[in-house]
Amino acid sequence: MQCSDPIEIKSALAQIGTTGSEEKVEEEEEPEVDGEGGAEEAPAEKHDEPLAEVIEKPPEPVAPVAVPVAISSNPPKKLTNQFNFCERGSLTLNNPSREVSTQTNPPSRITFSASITQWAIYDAYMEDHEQQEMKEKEKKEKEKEKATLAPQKKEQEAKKQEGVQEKSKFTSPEKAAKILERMSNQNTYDEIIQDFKYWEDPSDEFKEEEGTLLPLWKFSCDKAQNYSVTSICWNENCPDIFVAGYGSFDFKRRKAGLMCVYTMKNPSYPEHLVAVKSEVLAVDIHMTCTSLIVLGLSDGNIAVFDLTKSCETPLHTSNSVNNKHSAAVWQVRWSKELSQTEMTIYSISADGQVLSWTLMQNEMIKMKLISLTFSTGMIHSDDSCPLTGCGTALTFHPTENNIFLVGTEEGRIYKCSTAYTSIFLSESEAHYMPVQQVDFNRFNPAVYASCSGDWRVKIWEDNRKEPLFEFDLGSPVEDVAWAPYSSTVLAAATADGRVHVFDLNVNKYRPLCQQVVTQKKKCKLTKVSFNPKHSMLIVGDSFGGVSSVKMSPNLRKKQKPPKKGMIVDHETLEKLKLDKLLSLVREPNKPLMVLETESNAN
Amino acid sequence: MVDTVEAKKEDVETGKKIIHSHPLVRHCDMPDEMRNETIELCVTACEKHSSNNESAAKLIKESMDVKFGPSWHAVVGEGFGLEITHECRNLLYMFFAGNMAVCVWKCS
Repeated sequence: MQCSDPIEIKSALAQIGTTGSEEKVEEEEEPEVDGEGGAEEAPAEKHDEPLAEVIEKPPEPVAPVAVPVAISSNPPKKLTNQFNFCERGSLTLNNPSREVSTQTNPPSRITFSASITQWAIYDAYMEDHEQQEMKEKEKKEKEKEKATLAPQKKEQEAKKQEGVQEKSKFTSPEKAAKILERMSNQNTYDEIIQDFKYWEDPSDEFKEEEGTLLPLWKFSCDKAQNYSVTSICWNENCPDIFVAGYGSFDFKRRKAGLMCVYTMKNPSYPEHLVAVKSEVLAVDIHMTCTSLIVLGLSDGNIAVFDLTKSCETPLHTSNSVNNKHSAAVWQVRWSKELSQTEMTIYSISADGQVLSWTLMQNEMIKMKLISLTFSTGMIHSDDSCPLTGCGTALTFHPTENNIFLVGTEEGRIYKCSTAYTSIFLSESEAHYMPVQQVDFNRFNPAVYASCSGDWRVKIWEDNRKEPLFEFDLGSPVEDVAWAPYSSTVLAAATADGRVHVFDLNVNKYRPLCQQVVTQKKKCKLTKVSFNPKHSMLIVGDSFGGVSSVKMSPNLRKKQKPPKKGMIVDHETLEKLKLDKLLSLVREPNKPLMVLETESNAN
Repeated sequence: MVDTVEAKKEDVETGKKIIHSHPLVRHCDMPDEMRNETIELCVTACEKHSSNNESAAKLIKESMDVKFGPSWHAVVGEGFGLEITHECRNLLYMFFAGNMAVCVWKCS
């Protein structure tokens, strides 16, 4: 009703405004209308009808005032109501989603197992109880000790501080570095080591009277380049260690000297390097206490070093003014008498004196042993002082510690004893030139060899004026040495760079091996020495290098035991061999001399 | 090995039998504070439920779960063998009262 006839309602409403006044008029008129008559009934009826309509309708339009009205027909009157709203929608931007997953490590787990039994529990408690008791006891003891031993501990500490500062044992990085150095050296020289151990020249089977020397390591030190090797000595206890003394035979220039201790395990650098003020001409290692090394110097001094203590300062050194030789010391030897309190050194020098030095706690006491005086040919002068020779070589008898041989520059060999200071036991005119070296045969000490600058190596026997064997090697012989494993093998080093190895049992006239050991042409060999244990020779040369060579099997023939049953030891066999040889060589009345005149010019 | 020194030595018959009742740790993997707490907890539990191993173990397990995180396991007994896998740093194995053994471990 309300919304259906908007026009009707409008008109109704319009009429309300007019009819409202009409009603009043009509009400006024009604009584007048009734009064007048029916002529006005028709318009009144007309008025009644709309009035009736209006009367019926006015409550209707009045009550529902809230009626939506179309805007179009309305004049611009704005209707405001709270129900006016409009919808508006929009879509915001959604953040894109991303999946991220990770897996953590599970907490680490360990398996554990145990078994529990009544007795195990009991045992555990017992043990714990004992430990507790021990702890309590220790605590009590400590308390007691602290009270009483405090003064004693202080004394001990003081003693330690006062004591000689020994060369500390290697700290672990040094030790590790040393081992690594040896390892890398051995890896580098692996072939040489294999050769040293296992190489046996197979061609020796075909060459009966020849042998070869296989060159092995070459030991050298940068500092030693300008020196010649003047002496070498093997360490008896550790057969891979040897000592080389460096100096020079050229007396014009006086230089400082050097002594190096090498080991075969590390050929590239010496184990110990000792620098001394004057050139080293002789070295010797003590036979039991092998860290003690004695050096003979060219200024006449003697120095004793203890390698366990210090490489810098000598343990003992002879006083430079009185207590020394007046000329160069050519050879030093430790005394073989094993005395715990004193050690003795014997030295021979160009001033003609053989001196014995006794080592006491803090000093070395010099004692004159013997003086090499000429027994013949005294110069007739007013003072009539005896001529003294110049000693060049000294070696001790292997078994009798008192007897030693001395070689001189005049070519004589004297046999002396430590007991007699002025008398020689025997004397022989051995060579025409200075005797460079004398060496006793290890197996038969009545036999000894000597070599000299007159190109000759001579082998002597006691009580014989003439040598048993004589070899001419074509060049000044600098050193000779008997082999430690055989009574008939000896080696000689000559100034033309050759090593000559003889085996008198095989060939009495010729060396089994004459081999050039050095690489440079002008290099002279100065020293040769056999390794006490291995079949190896080391050779010192004038350019500061020590070469080692391995001897082929022909050079190291050892005497085989006789087949029939008898078990004879090696030494006896060697002695027998030598005796047999000597008996061949010796004739009862006439000594046989074998001259070797030819020399190979290779 | 010994934490709390609650050594009760009962010398019975001229001291031949010495009964220890202090907790004796046999193997412990835990950090120190955790360990001390755990030991105290175990001792408390065992004393409280001295006749019933199961309830002692239950008490231990539940308290450990609350304190240190889920999935603890506890065994209380007088004789057993064991082979377990435990998380690192979460194991305690101890003796108590002379004849009781407790093993507590975490493994989720």
